[in-house]
Amino acid sequence: MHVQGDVDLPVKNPSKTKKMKKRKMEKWIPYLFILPSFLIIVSFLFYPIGTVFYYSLQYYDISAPYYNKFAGLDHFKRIFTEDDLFLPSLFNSFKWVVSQVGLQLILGMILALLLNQTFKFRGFVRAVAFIPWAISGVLASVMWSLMYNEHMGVINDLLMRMGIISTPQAWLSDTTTAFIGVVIAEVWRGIPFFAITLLAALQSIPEELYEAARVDGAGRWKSYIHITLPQLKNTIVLTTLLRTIWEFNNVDLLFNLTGGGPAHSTTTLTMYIAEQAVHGSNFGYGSALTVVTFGILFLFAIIYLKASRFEREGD
Amino acid sequence: MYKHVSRSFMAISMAATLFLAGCSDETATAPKTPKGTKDEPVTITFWDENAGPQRTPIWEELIKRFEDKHPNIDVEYVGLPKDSAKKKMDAAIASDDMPDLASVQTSWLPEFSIREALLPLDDYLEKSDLKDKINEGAVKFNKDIVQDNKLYGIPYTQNLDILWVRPDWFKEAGVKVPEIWEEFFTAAEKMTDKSKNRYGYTIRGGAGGSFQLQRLMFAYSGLEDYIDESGKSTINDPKHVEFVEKYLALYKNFTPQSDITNGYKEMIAGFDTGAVAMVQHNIGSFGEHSEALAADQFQAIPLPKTEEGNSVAEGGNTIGISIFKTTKNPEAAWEFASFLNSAESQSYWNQQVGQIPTNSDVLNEQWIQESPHIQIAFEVYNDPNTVLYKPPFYLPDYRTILDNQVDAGTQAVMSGKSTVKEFLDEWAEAMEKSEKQYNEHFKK
Repeated sequence: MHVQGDVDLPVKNPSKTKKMKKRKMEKWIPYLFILPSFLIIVSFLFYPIGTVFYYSLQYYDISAPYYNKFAGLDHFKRIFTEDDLFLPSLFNSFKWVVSQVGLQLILGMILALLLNQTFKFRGFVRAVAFIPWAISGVLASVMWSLMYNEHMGVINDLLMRMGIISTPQAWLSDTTTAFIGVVIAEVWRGIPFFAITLLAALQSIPEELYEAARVDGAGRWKSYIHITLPQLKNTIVLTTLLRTIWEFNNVDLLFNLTGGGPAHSTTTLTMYIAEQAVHGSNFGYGSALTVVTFGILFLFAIIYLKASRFEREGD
Repeated sequence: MYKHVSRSFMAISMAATLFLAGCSDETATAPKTPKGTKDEPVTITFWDENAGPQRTPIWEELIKRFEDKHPNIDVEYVGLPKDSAKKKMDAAIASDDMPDLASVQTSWLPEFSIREALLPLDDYLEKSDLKDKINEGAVKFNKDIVQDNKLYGIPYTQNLDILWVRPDWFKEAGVKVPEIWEEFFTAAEKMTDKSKNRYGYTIRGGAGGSFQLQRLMFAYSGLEDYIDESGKSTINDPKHVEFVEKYLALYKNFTPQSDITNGYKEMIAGFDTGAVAMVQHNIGSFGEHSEALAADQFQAIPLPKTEEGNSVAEGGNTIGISIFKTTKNPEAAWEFASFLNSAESQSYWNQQVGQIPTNSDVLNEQWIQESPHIQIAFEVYNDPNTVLYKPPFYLPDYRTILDNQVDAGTQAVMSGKSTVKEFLDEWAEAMEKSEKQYNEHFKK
């Protein structure tokens, strides 16, 4: 909901007190307009976030309510000193985010540059390129799990026909290939996001800049480095930031393709939280893990925006 | 602005209070004038803990029959998928928003009863026609495992873990169908023919795999205690270490590689599509095999016997009907519960699913005499030498340990990341820790 700043509407009745009353009313009207969204944000965002912080200080397990009590900082102590899965999960999250955002950005950029050229059937190719983005996570995971299947998967079939492997592999059941398998599936799904936003940004770069560069004797590569990239900077910073947070929190493909296994080799921090809170119904410990995750993402966002000097040059 | 903030907070807290007040509809005690006995129309809600295309229609048929007999009682069916049913019931109990009655697995009774969610049914059963008809052992087990030794669930079906094998393949290869563990390991090896994409056995390495592993471990060792008097768990007993080492060594050699992430569906599909010769499950998957395979292509055999020649089964492998304390219509709920446990209903339900009824009036029916897999189950349960081991169902994190720690631990061994000894030691330690916490809390 947007609130218009200008609320000084012309007043017909010049009576002073009435005018003042109306002024006063008008002063409050914008707040009245934002009240519904404010209420929604408070009740569906701030309140749940508040309860997560609250439960992170409690022993709270709905399947064993008789053990529930105040925990103080016990959970945090356990996370940093005793928990054997916290650091490996955090490391998995790190690997996941870096590989996802990096690959999606590079491949998305290539796709956007290609789609920005003029060629026959461009509209059709553009539409096709964006299909993965429109496919729901559950459907995508069913598709990929069939493709990776040991007995009837198309990937094994192709690789065997090409003579690359001799026996069928269970790609998602091997601790060395499971992670890469899910990364490929998620990259496939995430490329269009970067392609769409970068393509939109590419189209807003004035053609004159390229013309001027050509006059100065710049080739394709030089115009890309000195014009395209700087012009895309804000878009890249914002999309990578958004995508980092999304990918950090993303579980659908991981959950459906491997469930965090085998042997926790694909358990990211978010998967680990789901395992603790959703599967184990240990909401106290799950909340504490969430608070730590929240802290990590919050710090990352601040540092990233500062370091990339977001918008400063664009202004 | 501040005023508005405080106002909206007030509004929210008021709304929240009203909402919470609406939720906490305290009716824990039975109302003075029981409804649903005569003409007054009442609605009761029934939760099924294993809904799906196979079982939901069976319940719907039974509900239809019940409503025809009791036009004043309307039964509302809510089907919960098997994997999340326990979580849903946990959440319902935590928020005091329970159904009137539900199909409840016996292993959940200790926890639900400590949380004071269920209505004791001893008096109801005592006064009913069902008295002395429901399997005595199963009823006694249900009382034994809860803290106050009351009856919180009337078992309507009993199950048994067995092996399903391909008799046609065994015959063709001239291999003996296993009766003892040594024969099982030999059969797994001999029945594997990778050139035909055929494996001797399939391991459930994914969700639910820990339950399978545990049942096989005890079937091998013949140990009766899960946790002994001194609070020590037998999980890392040398016999169990020996078994798990042999058993998980089958992986990849005589089982498919994808076994490490196998859930129930994948495991059964492996058998039903003709990729594996033996699979461990219970008699309840009869329906699925009979749909996929011809009658001479699958056969139920008991789990291999221990060195001493005993069969072993996990105690409490029953499902029962429980009534929740918050019900406003306990009489109507009992009416439905006893209807479900009548000979006619139990016969219908168990015949459709392929499990063992607990009502003695059903046991002589023809379909039971003609079902070899049910006969096998009877033989095992009626054998006086059969050992029934008791898992610590009363530990609130019993299931969580198995689901979160043991499933992943099995995968770690299968992928060579840890040794069997380390894995079983950690498993035993988790159970012992939980037992200690439980004892400190309840037995001070």
